Amino acid sequence: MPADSAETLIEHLSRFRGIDRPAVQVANMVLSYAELTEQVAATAARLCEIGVEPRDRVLIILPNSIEHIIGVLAVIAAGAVAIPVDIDAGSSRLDDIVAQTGPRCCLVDPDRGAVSGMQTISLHINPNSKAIECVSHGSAPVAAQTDSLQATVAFIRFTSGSTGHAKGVMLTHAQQLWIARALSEYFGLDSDHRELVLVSMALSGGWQRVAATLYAGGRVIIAEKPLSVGDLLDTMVSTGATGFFTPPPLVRMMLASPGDRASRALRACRTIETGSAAITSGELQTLKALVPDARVYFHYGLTECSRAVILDTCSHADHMATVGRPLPGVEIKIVDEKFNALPCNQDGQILLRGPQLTIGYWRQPELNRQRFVDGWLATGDYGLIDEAGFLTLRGRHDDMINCGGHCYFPGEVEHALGTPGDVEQYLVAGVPDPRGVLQDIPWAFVVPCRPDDWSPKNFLARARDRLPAHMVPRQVVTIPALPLTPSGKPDRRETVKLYGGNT
Amino acid sequence: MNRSDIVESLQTFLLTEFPNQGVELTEATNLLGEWFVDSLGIIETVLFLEKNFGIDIKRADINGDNFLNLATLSEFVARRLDSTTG
Repeated sequence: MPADSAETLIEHLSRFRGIDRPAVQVANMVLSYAELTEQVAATAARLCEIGVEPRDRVLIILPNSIEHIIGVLAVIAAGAVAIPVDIDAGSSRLDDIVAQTGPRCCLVDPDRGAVSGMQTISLHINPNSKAIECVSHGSAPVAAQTDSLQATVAFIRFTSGSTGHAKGVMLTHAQQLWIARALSEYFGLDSDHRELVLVSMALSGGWQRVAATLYAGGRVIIAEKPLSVGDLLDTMVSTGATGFFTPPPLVRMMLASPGDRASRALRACRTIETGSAAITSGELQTLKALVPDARVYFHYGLTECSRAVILDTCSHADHMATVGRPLPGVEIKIVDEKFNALPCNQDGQILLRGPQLTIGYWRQPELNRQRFVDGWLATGDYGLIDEAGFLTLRGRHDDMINCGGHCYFPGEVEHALGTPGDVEQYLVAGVPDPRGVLQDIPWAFVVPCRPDDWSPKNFLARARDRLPAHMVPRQVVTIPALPLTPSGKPDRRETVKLYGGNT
Repeated sequence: MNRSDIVESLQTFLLTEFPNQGVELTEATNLLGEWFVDSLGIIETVLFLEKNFGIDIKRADINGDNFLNLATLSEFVARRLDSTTG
């Protein structure tokens, strides 16, 4: 790792000031590093004028766009804290985040309109002048909640919590810079790299690839999400992309595509990364065979400790059933129920520690005590390490649902849905996808008040109204009663076992 | 393959992958508004069409006119089959 005295990603990027090399691209619009750094500085100055102060929280509710990248960088350049919220997160998650963080304002797309009860600033890049236009509307600036937030925090990233409330993962400037540099070096990114962004930049998995590409001086290409393999082919060819990250479902679509279309689409690809959900060694082998000239990576990580463990399938073809080894600088420990360290090849809970490990959850002292043990994060995932240091995942002991790489707890879905009037009881649980595409599929098991004339229509309409797509139950089954645990609580596992089909 | 074969095969796929949506799946059911859950559902459907019917689908084809309902989707498939065989 080269000596680097920069403390933040912003300081690092300031080295590219004045450099006329492409930094970000959407369709035919390209901003050079000179233009990008200039717009970030101008937008940061504008945010300060509007009243954003250091340590204020600022929501970023923007789709993948140049405006998103400039917005995030401007917020952290202003010393404020960026809170990216996925545009499809749903109103319930957004309300929860607003209530928890008391943001000063939010940055949105001009089409979105004001977010109620908060100063809303719309960002739009003028395609001719390539200058950012900030328009402030909505309520006057509120006095943001005062607190003892550390000045070093750059991001709060919200992730699903088992209680039904999202939890905010705090990440510092130094951690952001460290992970950008570590990934850029690990993947061998350089100024020739052209990153095609296929994942929401509001998610840690999507943003870190953007940050790593910018760190390396490469080009970030933002395209509409491909809806068919032919579409991906067109996008790859038209943009000249050389690398991307996508969770396993899109990889599976590529593998299932007839003929040689997928291999033609990916011919120019040099790095392909997948992760966030399980993939089989067979699928990874097939992907490698499809793109023999590319390096294929698989990662395991959490928002709390991004891309902690990576499998380089080219260098470690003999460990394809594992999730690889820790990113240099990251440590893994496997422990028993009492947090005693276990030797190699013994199953236990995975603990992680590393430079990118979050400094803690925002205003959750109890959760912080539970999840952090002597500086290690208790992940809630289970697995084992072999003698060579490769990690094999065994699963989780809780109810987390992983739907195509989106991880969440049933409690969050139930909290957002509430209980409709015509339903006596229900629960949501993940049922394994029999096709093996999405990993888990959310099902709702419903005990209606009047089973004879109940239809899931209104229940699903309510779900679609309040929840992001990956949380909407795909299957609704009516059952006579919820099975209970010995302590009298609804038993999710037993419900899935009894009523979750043959899976 | 005639139109009713296409409709039947699409119907079977939609009922298997997106079961019990609380509405009856007729030829007029609005697929994007009432049936598919998300963009992944569209990708899955596109892949099914490509594999099952051997047709090539591009982004421009994936629009509210072709994907409106079972009737329009079947007509789209039939047109594409005609143009590839003829």
